[in-house]
Amino acid sequence: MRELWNIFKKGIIAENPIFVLALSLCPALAVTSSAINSLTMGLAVMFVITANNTVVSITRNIVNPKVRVPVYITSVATIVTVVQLVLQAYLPVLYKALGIYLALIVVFAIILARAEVFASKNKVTPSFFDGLGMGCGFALALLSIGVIRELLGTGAIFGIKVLGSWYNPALIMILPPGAFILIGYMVAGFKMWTQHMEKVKLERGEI
Amino acid sequence: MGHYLTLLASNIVVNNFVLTRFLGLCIFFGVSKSLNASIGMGMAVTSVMTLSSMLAWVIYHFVLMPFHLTFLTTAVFVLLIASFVQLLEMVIKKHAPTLYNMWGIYLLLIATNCIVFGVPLINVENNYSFLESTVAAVGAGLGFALAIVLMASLREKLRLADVPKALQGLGIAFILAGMLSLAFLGFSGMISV
Amino acid sequence: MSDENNIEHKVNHEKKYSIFQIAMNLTVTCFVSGAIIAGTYFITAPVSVKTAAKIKTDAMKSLVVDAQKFNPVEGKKEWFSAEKDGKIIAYVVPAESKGYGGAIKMLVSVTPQGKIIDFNILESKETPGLGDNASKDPFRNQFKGKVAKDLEVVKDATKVDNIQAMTGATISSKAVTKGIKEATQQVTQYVGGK
Repeated sequence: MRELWNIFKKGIIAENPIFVLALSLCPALAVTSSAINSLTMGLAVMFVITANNTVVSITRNIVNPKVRVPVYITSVATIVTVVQLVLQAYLPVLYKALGIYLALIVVFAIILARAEVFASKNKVTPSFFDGLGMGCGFALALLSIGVIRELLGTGAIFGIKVLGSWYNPALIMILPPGAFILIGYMVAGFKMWTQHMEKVKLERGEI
Repeated sequence: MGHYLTLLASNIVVNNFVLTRFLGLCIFFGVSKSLNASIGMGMAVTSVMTLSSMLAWVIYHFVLMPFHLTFLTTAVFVLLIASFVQLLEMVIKKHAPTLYNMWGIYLLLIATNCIVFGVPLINVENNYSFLESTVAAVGAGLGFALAIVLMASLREKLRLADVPKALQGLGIAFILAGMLSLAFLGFSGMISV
Repeated sequence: MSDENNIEHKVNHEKKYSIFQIAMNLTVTCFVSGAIIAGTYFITAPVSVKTAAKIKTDAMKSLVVDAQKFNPVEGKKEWFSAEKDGKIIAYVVPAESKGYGGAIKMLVSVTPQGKIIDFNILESKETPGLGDNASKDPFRNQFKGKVAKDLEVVKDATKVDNIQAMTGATISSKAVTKGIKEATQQVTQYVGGK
């Protein structure tokens, strides 16, 4: 149980896909102009990574290693297409907001990387939690970026006005340059925080 | 003629695929550390994007649409492009070694990449004709090449700068990209497609 | 001698086996994937169509609040007539014009007498905070009740009959006004021709 928790945890902080591994950055900027879009994308990716890790792990002994890449790609493509179709039918407004970036989930390096590095070599339950952890880390990263961008760029979060009319929105936050600069600082901040935590652990003698 | 030039220019500067549409960022940040690699990568991406866009358009309009299979677009496109790039790499390696030495090594990096996969999808979304798709793809590729070469030149200069420890590496690269993006924002409204 | 033959035989047999396995892997994957996608599509496609139709009707309802029913107009693509108590009280027509950042797609509701009721911006790539405000009041409110010949963009605040441009977004203001003006003129033309 402890081990599963560790597997899950590392995707959120130590190996956070966006802030640490710097994989699959495109959506981090493209859909985070509003918190609700970030959340939807985050949840979609979480679903796809977890599902794909599970599938890859289940079939890891049946698939011939030489063709594993096309098989993994097909697997991810199938899962993403299913998500697209379901969103189009039941949440069409969000589907439209995500646009092509939803389809682009198929080529996220993080999904193929986890399948290759972890799921193809481990049993189903650990793979499930690995995918869940990575997906969760990704979603949390996206959500934090989205909330900050929407808050500073429009004064609202999830469409609910938080800052009063005294606040003149910094439009640049919802435009591309703002996204880049914000993430630059967030990456730096994350680095500083993890380094600080490591120092603390070292002092406590945990490492 | 004017329409195509507008489309080309629009994709290179106004709707720059990297700095405005956020595609191709992983390779953008990964390869822009060296100017030579960036030039090579720019050429590779432009070539692959143009060829795969043409192929994707043909498949979409002659196979997927007539048979009402457009819901398979995502899956078909990604497998098509991935296999096509693998094939291209093998062909170039064998028949054009000088070309391979220039930029062939980057091909496998862009086999499944959001910018190469995104351009055909955008073409489909905008319902472009074959010529429009091709021009759009060339524009997107050139825009990417422009962005990555600019970024690489800046990053090489950055090696002499005193960057705070936390910002080193990815942090400062993002902020730099933000400045570039800000500069490109000045183009918006210049060319309306 | 016979040992060599044996080994060769085994290698050939193994190679054939794995090519077959590879082919099977790929084929089975394609089949399973295709089946799952097709299955999902069959379940969700009718729902998608229904949801899309509902969104369209809701959008039109917000433009013509009193309408009881919407009917497509014959001969005119994407035109709808809004009906109340058997009479046509408005036409809902699409409009498009070139804005600052790209095409602006709108939906305009016009009375048969050529008066504008309201409009909705469906798609636009205008600058957020500037041209984007076209879909909000006070810019939006200006159009209610005006006729085509009033639709001119001015910067003079005293000319209340015309359309006041948005500060810092003249191009967007002009584009939206042009689109709505053309739509209104088309309706007048259509009604006049009947």
